[in-house]
Amino acid sequence: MNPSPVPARHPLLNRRRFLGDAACGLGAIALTHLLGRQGLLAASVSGKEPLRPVIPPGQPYAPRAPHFPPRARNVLVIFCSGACSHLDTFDYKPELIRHHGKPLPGAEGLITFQGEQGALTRSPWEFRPRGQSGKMISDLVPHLGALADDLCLIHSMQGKTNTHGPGENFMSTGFTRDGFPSLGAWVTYALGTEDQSLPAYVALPDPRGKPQNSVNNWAPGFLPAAFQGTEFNATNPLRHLAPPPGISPRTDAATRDFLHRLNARHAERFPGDTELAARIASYELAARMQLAVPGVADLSTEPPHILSCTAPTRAGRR
Amino acid sequence: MSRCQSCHGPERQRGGYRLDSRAAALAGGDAYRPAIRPGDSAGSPLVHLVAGLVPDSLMPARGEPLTQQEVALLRAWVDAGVPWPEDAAAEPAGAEPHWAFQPVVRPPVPAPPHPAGDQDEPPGEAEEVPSNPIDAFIQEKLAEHNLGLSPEADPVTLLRRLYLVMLGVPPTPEEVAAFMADPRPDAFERWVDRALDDPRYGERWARHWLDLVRFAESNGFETNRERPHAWRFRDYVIDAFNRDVPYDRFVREQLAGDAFGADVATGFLVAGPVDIVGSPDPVLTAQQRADELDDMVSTTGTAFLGLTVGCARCHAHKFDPIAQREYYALAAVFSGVKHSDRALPLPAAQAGEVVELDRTIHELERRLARFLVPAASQTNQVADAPLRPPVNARHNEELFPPLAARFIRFTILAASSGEPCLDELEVWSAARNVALARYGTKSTASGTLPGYEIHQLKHVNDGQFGNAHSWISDKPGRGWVQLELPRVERIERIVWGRDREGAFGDRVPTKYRIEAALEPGAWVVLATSDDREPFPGPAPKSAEPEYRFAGWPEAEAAQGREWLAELEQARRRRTALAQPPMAYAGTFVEPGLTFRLHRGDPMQPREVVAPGTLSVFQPLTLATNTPEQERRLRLAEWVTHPKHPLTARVLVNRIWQHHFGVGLVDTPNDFGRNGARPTHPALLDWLASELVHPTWRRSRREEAQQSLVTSTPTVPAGWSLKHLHRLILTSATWRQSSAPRPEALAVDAGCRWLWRFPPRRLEAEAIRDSALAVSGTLDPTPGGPGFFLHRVERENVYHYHPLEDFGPAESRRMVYAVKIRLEPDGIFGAFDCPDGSLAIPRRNVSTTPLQALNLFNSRFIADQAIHLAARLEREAGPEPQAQVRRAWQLAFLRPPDPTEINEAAALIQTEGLPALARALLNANEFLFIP
Repeated sequence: MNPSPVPARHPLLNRRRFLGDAACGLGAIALTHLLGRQGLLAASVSGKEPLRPVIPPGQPYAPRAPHFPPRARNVLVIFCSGACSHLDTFDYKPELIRHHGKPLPGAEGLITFQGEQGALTRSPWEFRPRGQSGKMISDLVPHLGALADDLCLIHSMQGKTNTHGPGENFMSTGFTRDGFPSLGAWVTYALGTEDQSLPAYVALPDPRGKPQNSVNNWAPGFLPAAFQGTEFNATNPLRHLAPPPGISPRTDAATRDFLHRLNARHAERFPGDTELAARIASYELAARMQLAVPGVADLSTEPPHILSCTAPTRAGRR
Repeated sequence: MSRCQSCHGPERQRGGYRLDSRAAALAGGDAYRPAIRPGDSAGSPLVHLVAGLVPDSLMPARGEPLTQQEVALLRAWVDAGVPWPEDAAAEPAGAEPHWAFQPVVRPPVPAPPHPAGDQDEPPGEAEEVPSNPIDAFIQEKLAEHNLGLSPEADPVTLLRRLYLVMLGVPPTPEEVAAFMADPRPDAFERWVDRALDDPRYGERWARHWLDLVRFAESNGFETNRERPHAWRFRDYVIDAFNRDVPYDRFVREQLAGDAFGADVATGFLVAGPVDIVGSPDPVLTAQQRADELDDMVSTTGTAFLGLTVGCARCHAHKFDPIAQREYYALAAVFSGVKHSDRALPLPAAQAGEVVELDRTIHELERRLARFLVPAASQTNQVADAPLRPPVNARHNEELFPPLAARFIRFTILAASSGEPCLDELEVWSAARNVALARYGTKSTASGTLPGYEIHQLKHVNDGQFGNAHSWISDKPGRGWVQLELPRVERIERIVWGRDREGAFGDRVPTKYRIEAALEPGAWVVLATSDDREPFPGPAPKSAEPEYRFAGWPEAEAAQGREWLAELEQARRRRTALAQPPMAYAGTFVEPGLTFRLHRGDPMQPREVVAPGTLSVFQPLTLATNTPEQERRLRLAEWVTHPKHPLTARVLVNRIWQHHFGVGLVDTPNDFGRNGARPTHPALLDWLASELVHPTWRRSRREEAQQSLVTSTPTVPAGWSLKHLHRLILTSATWRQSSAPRPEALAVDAGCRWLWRFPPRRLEAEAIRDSALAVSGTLDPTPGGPGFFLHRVERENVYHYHPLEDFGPAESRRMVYAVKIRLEPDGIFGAFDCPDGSLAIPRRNVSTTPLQALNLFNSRFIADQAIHLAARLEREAGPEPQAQVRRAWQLAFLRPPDPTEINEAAALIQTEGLPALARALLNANEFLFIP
């Protein structure tokens, strides 16, 4: 990875470099993390301070300053695993139209994952220029097409696998193989979060079914479990958020108080031990989440027209 | 040459060419090979390129061209034979040799420090001289930082620590009482021995190893299907720790256990993820296979050698002397290993019973042979005989007049489907199957379906039945097998089948000819399919179509039917008994050639690479046609060579890390240049040397006295992990208090110099096991198939839903939970459980609100709290203060102080006993190794 931020005078290069690093060059970040784990020893050997976030044991999600001023405040990644083809929507391929019905040049008789190679087929939807930019978008998505000037489409982003699971891994972690941290895990690891009473990084799986590679899409890989995406949706906001059945709020509060005093007295015997303090703090954070999360997940105050256009139905599960 | 390095150096290799080692510089890149001909500058493309003799290709591509003088210098150098600095490839110029690649030399143990002012006094008789060398090394470093060891922890803390570190559960109050009442001066040493003999030790420490070898019981990737036979490897590891299998043997078994009768151990090779989504796409298939091999190469490198060998998959390692070729030499070692279940040898008693049954079966078959319809053949012309029964998939007999023969040929002319299959071809001479390979019979065939270990030619006369021990031809509907007996035999009957076990009905030879000869060429037909009824199709598994009792006197026919009934029963029993146990331990096929893959791309194979080892230590290169098993055996021997600089160092560091939380080298999987340096290099080397060549003995009084009498000191065996544990556990370093000291915290907050025992949070498994143990519901049943922590939805792609309700079936130790790749347990996964995808040498220890929510609010802990409350009532009666005392003993092994009694009793009275139990199971004191 380039150790210094890319000069700001090449915005196009900037964006490309960012996307390249974000989705393909995560190995370099991984290396940085591993270097960081060596602490002072590695730093003194290499003579350089590794670029790594300082994570206080008691507050793994404490907000951390970014390495350069951010342009965006929030990032929302919508990943439509198994969505309709780019060739039918946003990716205009005039050559494909020209070769419609002919075999793929130079690959006659090629056998792929899906079987024997057939003839090339153009999209059944017409493409036409949209907006002022004239971006070619198909008739399959005419309403989105009308917003062409507000969209950013990156056609240069390509992977080298043609199966779902490894492809999802590549999208979410930068590696086709399992076991590497997801994009959100890296971001949370680097930046923490501003609201300590809500999960730092949430994954909202489609209630009709998770993606093929399931939790690996929001997994922490080899980063601490704290940076795992928390599965979260309206029907099941957060696991273990409420006290177990049969325990009244009063009992719950009294138990929590008692535990706090027990832990505080224990910590007095180990002054300066941050891990103990961190666990005590984690119970306080948990209590705050217990109060804040249900409010976030409560959709009952949303107007019906919002609900009807955003909530997926359970019909049509894979 | 410095002008070339920016494009053709270690960082970048434009055109596939690099100039930072002599071999690579000579070999050339994509366009010119070789690039340099030593002694022939006029014939060296490198010289042409820099001199501008190649149109449009002047090098360097950027900047000024070389001056005439520079070109002349280069030519002179090439003509002089390209002299190159020694070792330049292995060690970057100017760098000092890397410590971890140097031989382990046993350092002297430092003299014990004398307390200030006591220099004149000789150590008194009663004074315990620190007899444990670990302490001498640790104290030496502490002294350098003006620090010292902390005093010994109190006995209860010590026992709790011993149990949590070594067994993963706390001691019971009764065990604490027994320990406290043990009057012997070496009581702690004896309890260390007890812990090491406790089978829970293997259950605890196997988990560390399973993390390291990325063990899981599902395939990973999108399908993530279960591996129902993978648990045997988990049990193997537990058992190996408990039996204290010497580490060198443990390593050898995991790499090549099939050569030592430790078949399950090779589960190591295939413990990692595998993408089973197959396809006819050659690119995808090659990539998948390359990834499988990468998993084996990388894990072997990190687990045993502490080297990031995987970095050399696409290019030479950037930090360590590992060439890309070396990576592919290791890949060639594993290139015959396939992901699969493997049949294990039958247990001895079972195998004996099978042999016994075989004898019965053969005897009955011999008696029944008279009821067979003889085959029509050259020597046996039978007119108007009835047709023989049709061929069937299981079992066919050919009876013919006895004749002398040395060669038998079975020619298949048609098959029911696909390439025909024979599971066994028996040739009987009196009561002996002379076809068996173990009598010296050789088999040849027209060809064998490639790529299947279970369908090799050797199986056709190995005496083992069933599809898993069969031969399949490489041609649809055709093929032949020929047997050459070691000498002429008088043969009388031939028995053959496609699957004696009756599981498969395809690939049956339906048209065939069996011939015999004394010399090749002089063939006599013994039997053919011509006089059989036509093949009816694959379905029928009818009882016994072979024998005809009609036409025989009633008494004889009845006898025959009785024998037949016995025979059928014996065969059924044999089929059931001969079913081998299975283990996910991989199968092995003879591999083809391995190529170096340019940039790691399977579509860009370059030169052939022979199987071999790394050059960091006595490199080994094998012939390219070395048999599969021998490749792994030789690698295993190389890894466990007593002089290997990495193996022992890496291992003792791992053991140390699981005692103290951090290793002496805190990058346990990277002992290379990019890894950390050891905090205590001398101690690391002393321990490594002590592991391989043990000399240390405990100064236990009784033993000392004994050795005075017998003068035969008991030196432990080499590579013993328990020896290493004993050494560490009895050191003052391990036994010191964990209480923080402000002056020491100020100097060394991370406790890298070990001025105290560093306390730490328990891992996920130990938390769950401890909660079950304290609540009294832990089921200690060891071994066998695991229990699920998920509800499994077995579609094409498997889905795993974490369980919420747990019962007795889920109350065994967590090491026995089915480890699903990528899918963490719903409660304890948040406590940094690895996901089984990569080798994890050291778990993160994170602290998060989600952990707090899981532990405080999960139904599992609520249930355990109710069990614990019931136990307290049972054991302490109804009185709250007595309940509190018992609760503190069970959870913390200490009496409560007055404030705690009052507060806890008040909680019981207002909120009930389960509320108190729930708090205790969440308490820091319960969850930390003290």
